[in-house]
Amino acid sequence: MNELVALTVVGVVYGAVYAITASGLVVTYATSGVFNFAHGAVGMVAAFSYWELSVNHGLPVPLALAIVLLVEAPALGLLVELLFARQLHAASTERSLMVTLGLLLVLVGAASSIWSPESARILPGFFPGYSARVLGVNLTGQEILVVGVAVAVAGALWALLEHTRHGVAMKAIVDDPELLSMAGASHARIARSGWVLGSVLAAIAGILLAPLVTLDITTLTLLVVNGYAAAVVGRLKNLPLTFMGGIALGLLQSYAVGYMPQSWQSWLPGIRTALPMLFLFAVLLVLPHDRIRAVGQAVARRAPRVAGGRESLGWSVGLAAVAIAAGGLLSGIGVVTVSQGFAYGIIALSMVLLTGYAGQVSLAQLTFAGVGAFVAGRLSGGSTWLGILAAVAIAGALGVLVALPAMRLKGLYLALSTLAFAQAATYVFFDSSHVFGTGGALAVGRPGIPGIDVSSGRAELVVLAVAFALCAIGVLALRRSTLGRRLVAMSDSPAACATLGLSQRPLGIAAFGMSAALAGFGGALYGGLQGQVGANDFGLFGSMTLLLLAVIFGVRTVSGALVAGMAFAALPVLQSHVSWMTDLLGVVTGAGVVLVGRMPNGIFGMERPDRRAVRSPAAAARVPEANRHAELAGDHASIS
Amino acid sequence: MQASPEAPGSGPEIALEVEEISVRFGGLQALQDVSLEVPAGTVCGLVGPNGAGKTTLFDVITGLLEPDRGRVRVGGVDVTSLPAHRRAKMGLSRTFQRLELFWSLSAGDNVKVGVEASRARRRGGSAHPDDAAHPESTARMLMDRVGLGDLAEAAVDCLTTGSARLVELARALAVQPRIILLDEPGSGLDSAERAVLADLLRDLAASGTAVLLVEHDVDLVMRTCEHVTVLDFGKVIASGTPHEVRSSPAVQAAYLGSSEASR
Ligand SMILES: Nc1ncnc2c1ncn2[C@@H]1O[C@H](COP(=O)(O)OP(=O)(O)O)[C@@H](O)[C@H]1O
Ligand SMILES: [Mg+2]
Repeated sequence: MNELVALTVVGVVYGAVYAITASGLVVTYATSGVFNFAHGAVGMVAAFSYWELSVNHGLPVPLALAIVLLVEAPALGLLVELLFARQLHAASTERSLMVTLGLLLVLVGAASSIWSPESARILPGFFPGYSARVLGVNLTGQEILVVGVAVAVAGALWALLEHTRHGVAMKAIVDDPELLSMAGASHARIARSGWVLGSVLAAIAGILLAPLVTLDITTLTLLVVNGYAAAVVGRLKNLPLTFMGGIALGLLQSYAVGYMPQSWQSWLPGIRTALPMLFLFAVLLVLPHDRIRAVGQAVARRAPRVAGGRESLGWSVGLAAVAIAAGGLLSGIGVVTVSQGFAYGIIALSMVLLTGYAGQVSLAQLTFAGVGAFVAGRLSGGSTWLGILAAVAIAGALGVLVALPAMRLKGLYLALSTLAFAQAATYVFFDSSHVFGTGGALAVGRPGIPGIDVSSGRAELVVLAVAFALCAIGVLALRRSTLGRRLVAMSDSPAACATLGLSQRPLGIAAFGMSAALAGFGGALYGGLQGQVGANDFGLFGSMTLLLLAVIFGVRTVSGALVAGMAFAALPVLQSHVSWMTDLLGVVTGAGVVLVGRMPNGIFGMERPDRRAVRSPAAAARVPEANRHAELAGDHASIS
Repeated sequence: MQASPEAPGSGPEIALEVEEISVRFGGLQALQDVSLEVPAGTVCGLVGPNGAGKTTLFDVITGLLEPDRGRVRVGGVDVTSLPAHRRAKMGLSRTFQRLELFWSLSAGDNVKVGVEASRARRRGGSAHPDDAAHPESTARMLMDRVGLGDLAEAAVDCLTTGSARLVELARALAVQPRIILLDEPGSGLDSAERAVLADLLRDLAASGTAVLLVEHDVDLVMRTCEHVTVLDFGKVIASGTPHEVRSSPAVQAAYLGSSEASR
């Protein structure tokens, strides 16, 4: 009984922090229409800044708090809003998702350059030494403060939204997101205050959380997943439900610590850490179904040209020739890097299929690659083609399994569920010693090819180049097929597809399965190239970074995928030449996405110059081009 | 004018039947007890000022919007609880007032998606004369039919609004619908394109298709529709032949008068 009370109290404390961070997410999302994936990163930066000021520079606590909460956090929120949130207002879910993911990488990269992860830092709690007994449980001052702040935040939000004019206008939008679609000066102001308020709430949560867990960049950035889960309980708009969701998650975690059978623990050591992800996944699955809606399209987005069969064959032969030549010219490290680039390129091709064509965002592509490498490694050390085949099949099947329940979700919610899946897979599966072996290094071999000595790095380079070329030919052929047209059509207008008799679910599941299979293939080849792989090769940040690189270079083109793979392999190598920054890959990628945010098709998918209007030959009267889709001009972006 | 439409003629079967549909958006009653019927082989008009609820009714009929009350029947079968794609497979097709084109595909490929969708639908069912043809050539034939024969390769965002609407029309026809709902197909069309449209509407009716037409062009409505239903603020205020409806004082006050005055 006492134990139950103690676990409940602890659960409420943690749940309170989740509730604070989640309420910030909701306020920003509901007023601006942008789900801020960098919300946790903002809290992380705030916690580190507070440490810098109060611990490192010895400023008094109130002053340090005032600087972080009243200056830095609002400024960060405003900056985000000014930089790109406003242009996101009318953009697709997919674009706003990419830009906030980019911001996440920039903030994480900047923080790790300023506060090197090598040295440990300790952020002491507030009121050290103070403790009180509540319901027979000893609580530290920090823990009492957390609950108090959560109550105060809830009260302040209530007072703001119910009793001030500006707040009532904000609440009107929170309650009825349709209003958001109507452009107007007052709505821009409301969105701006939404960003500022959200940013301050993220900062409060970060500063409260750091002493309870640890002052660590990745931990604090990813703890926001708990906030995502709570926010999704409130369907990203209901604040009371969001608070309840946060508390429920805190309690669930706490009870799991106390009551989960020891046998589960030894069998799946990561199960406790993965609870928030499983919670998020479960909540997403019970969300009410969104109906397909006709929304019209504000901005016509034209796809890059699709290469024909003969043309893609020609390019492939060229690519193989370049690989043979490069093998002779490059140094050892160069050969390995370019080979890795081809393997990553294949994984990036899986993103072309899923994101570029089908318009769905997955943050779990490296997870599928990891599954591929694991299967290949476990089956005869990866040195047989049967192992590769099994890797493709099992990764594809897993993709279908993830998509089956998640497919009725779209856009943002689907992306969130893949994020939950990727993180849970890392904790429960990849980190387990049953998977990549003790110490996290599973040996993966290379399948033999008659007449070629695949143990040489140069031969492997050519093999990987040819494998990439074959995959690219396959992806382009798919795009030209009936299925490919349907995937693109479904992404462009689900409503029109439905009225033609095409249903969304099987198409989405097919796209997800094929894309996971392709990622699994890339992962298996990557494993063979590396010789051994571990959980670190297939993390969530890796998936995000590769996806963003694909977006930068053109996620709708195979050339974009190739360059993205190469950049993903090469940037860490260049890192050794850049000493002042510790996360070159993350910062370059994040900044790149923010910069190319206006380019819907990325660098390699830029529009051809011939944008002249084509008129019907029957046209007797000329319709000025300015009138094209004039009635669409007042159209709105769809939320969710 | 009475609110319930008389069945025009007694012969043809009723292809589409809408019964007492009501839809509320927050504080706005967008549709209230709207009923209408479209017999096979006729063109019926649905008119009314902007915001009357015409597009909302189309969304309800095609399954994109769930009504608060009322039923929709296609060929006598109640489809109210079916999802949009299942209704489409029963022969229901539409165009959109706000264009819903596949912007990443060429004009011809937009139509081809429709052709291929209907082909999958009829697989195993009765053979259709078009099935022998390649989807490519069927798509081209449909583009010809709407007068866009040589624009198959064009990117749809390069088209004029009128041509883009015609692409949507061709795509909607590609599934060989028994019932087709057209939401302001004439807006943005020039006079030549409008003539093509009028001919096409008559051809469709002659071949047994039921057409429900939302259109602001009074002339087009008068020339092609056998029966017209008038909506205003979500309610049916009149229904009958175009001439009956036109002479109704309620209609003149609500729609035709203001519309003609603004022209
Ligand atoms: N999704 C929606 N949410 C709220 N109101 C809507 C929505 N769709 C349409 N409306 C409103 O319903 C009314 C009917 O709209 P609509 O059916 O588009 O009219 P029409 O097609 O006759 O011009 C309008 O007042 C419109 O503003
Ligand atoms: Mg309308």
